[in-house]
Amino acid sequence: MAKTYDFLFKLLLIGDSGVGKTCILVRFSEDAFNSTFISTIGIDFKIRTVDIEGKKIKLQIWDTAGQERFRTITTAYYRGAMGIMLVYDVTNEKSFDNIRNWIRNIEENAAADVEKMILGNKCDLEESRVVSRERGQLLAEEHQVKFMETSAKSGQNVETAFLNLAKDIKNKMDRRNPGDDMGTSQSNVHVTAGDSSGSGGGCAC
Amino acid sequence: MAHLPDDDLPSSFDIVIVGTGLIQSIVAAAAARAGKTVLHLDNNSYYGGCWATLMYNDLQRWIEVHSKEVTDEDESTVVTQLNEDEVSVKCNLSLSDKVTNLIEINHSEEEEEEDKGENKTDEEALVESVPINEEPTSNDAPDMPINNEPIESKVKVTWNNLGNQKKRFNFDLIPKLLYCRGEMVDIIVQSGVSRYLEFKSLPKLYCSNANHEIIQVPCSRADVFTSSIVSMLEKRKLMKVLTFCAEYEKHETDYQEYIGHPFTEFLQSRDLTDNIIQFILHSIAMVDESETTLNGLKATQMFLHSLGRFGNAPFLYPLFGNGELPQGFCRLCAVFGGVYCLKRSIRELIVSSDNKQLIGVVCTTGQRIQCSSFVGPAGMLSSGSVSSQRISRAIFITDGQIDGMDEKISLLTIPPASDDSPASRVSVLQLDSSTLTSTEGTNMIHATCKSFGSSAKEDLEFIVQRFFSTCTTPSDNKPRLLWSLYYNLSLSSCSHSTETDSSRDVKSDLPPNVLMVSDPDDTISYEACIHEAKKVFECLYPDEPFLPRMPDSEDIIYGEEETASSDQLAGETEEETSANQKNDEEDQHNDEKDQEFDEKVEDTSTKQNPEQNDSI
Repeated sequence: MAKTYDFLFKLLLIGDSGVGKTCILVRFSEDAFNSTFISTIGIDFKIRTVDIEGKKIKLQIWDTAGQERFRTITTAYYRGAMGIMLVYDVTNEKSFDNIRNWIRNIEENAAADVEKMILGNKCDLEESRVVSRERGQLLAEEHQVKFMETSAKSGQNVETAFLNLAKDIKNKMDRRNPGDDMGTSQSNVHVTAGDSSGSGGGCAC
Repeated sequence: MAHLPDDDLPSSFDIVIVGTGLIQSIVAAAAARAGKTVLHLDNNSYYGGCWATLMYNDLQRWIEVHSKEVTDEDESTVVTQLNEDEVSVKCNLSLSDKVTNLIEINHSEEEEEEDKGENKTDEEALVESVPINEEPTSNDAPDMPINNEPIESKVKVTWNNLGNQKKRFNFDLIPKLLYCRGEMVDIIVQSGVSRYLEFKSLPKLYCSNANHEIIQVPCSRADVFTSSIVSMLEKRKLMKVLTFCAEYEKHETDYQEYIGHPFTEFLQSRDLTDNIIQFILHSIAMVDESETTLNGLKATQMFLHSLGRFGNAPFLYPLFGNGELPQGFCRLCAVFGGVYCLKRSIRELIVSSDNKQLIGVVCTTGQRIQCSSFVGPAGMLSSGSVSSQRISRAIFITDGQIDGMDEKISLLTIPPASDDSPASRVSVLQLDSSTLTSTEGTNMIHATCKSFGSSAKEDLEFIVQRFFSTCTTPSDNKPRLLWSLYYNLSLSSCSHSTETDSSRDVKSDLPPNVLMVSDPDDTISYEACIHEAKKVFECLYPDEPFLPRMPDSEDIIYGEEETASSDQLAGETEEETSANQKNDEEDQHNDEKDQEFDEKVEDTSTKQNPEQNDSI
């Protein structure tokens, strides 16, 4: 069976509950928004294939499944992640403060070289904003990651943010093994492979 | 680190489950999948309980907690307000007596001592002056000096100079393996949990003979015939008995009279030499001498059927360790709405005094939660029928593989010896860095057995002398031991019975809607655990299917994956999209899953589950 993509990137969404992670995910993967959408039931990950510099890149974006609510994200969630979107809500100070905790969590559990990006979501709610753009920018600079303000409701910057993150991952990969097709996990066994890497033939024969 | 303004949990659930051990996690996932509202708590800060795989920092904390003298915790004086028709049952929160005889040894300290005390050879002096690893220094060890000069292979890795790399070790508290054709593989495929996991296969198994030599276990027909450990005559007999075991059900008359007797008796009746009997018993069936014939045959059959599904290997080992399994089921539960909270447990059950039914629980935070069922770990309540067994564990980190175990990831079984150590079968699991449980250049070696001596160290220390090089017994062809940990675990198991009468008899003191589950057993596999999880689920929800397959591929319009692209969906109204959201999502999964499953697995597999074939 011919592969329909050149690379597969596993991306994660992280941040406090209610900051709009699932909405961002649904906006990006389906270009839809529903404000009454409350919890994250039934969403494991979503897929969207994008085109970057002539390569078809399949983005597999994982949602927290609500396990962030009491800070109980499994360490397994971070396995194999190549990029992480750290999301806070510009109308919620606490969610912004917690970004530091989430970064610490990522440092403990994710690969050291994972690409990160901070998103200040709900930027359409200008009247109830409590975190200024500048503060978001400063926090991102402090951790040397990219920053963007998004609105899952209007769709503002959502697409751009994911494309940027994907581009950074691809650039990093190109630098590491030029011309190589994802040098990871050649001999791992997937007993089913929704999460398979693009390397193909992962079966232990 | 409570960051929510309100740290309270929702106040009502269909089921509350305490402990994120594997059995509880499977039950939690199955309940959520069946549409029940699930609250899943764990007193620890990590997932998995006894089934956990701990990172180095968590392991240090674990060691600290379990090394403390068990002190009687001051009985909480908090009184829960109860209604007149309610009784409260206190739960046992301190389970710290489960782990005993903990000994951690950092062997680099011994070496340094040695180096200082005696005249150094030139070699050792060189080593001391350049305290870095063999590996090129990576980002993970920024504290280490970078030295560009090639230092040949003289540089000794020691536990101390591993530095920051230590955090990349993942320690299984109880190591286990999945039979390639075992129920665990079926359940994770069927439930979709396999999306969260990757595995390494164990293509070779080893056993140790009476002379302490390590021999490769012949698994396949080809192995049997090329093997040098069995004589020509034995080969034919071995082949014959293995062929018989592979489809023993077809020859019922041949084993009928041994059904209630030990498997050894049956094997003896097949005119086999002691050599072969030992070998089938301990390295293939991996059962005790006293195991019944039927169970022995089943175990042998499971082993033989597992060969060839994912290459010529009977077992799989999960990347990052066994702790990924409970976490995978917990995620599945969360995806279907389960609520998770760690560092929290319950302190009391509330039982109605009228009908003796559980009506709710009280959290350690004092919050009262209404629920119609409760599942907790054996030993949490002082009642119930619980038996307990002690196992001995050792974890070794070495700078190389065991001599004779050429395969990087492999299992060695050491049969019990009558006159020598060990007195019960020891499983030795060797893992290299490709399993992501150890770092490049080191091996993690797990040893497990039923306790026979007074402590784990006493039971398993013979492994050090036999296989490793240490300061006291240096050896050139053995790997150097860098670090070791010994502990005994006391594992509880409870008996479940689906026949309502007998189960009520057994634990008449527990409300009928309160169920206890066992700790891991002492076998290398997951079969008993799946069995128990199914039974518990059946007791709770007899009419619900157990972890049914994710919606089938028949529901998928082919090429669905393409519709995920924004332009095609953009035409739909928002309402339609949100209504279809969940289905689309599941369809995508399955579409993907099926395609890739077919690609990756089918070619090595001759027998597929019928449902999986339907999708083609």
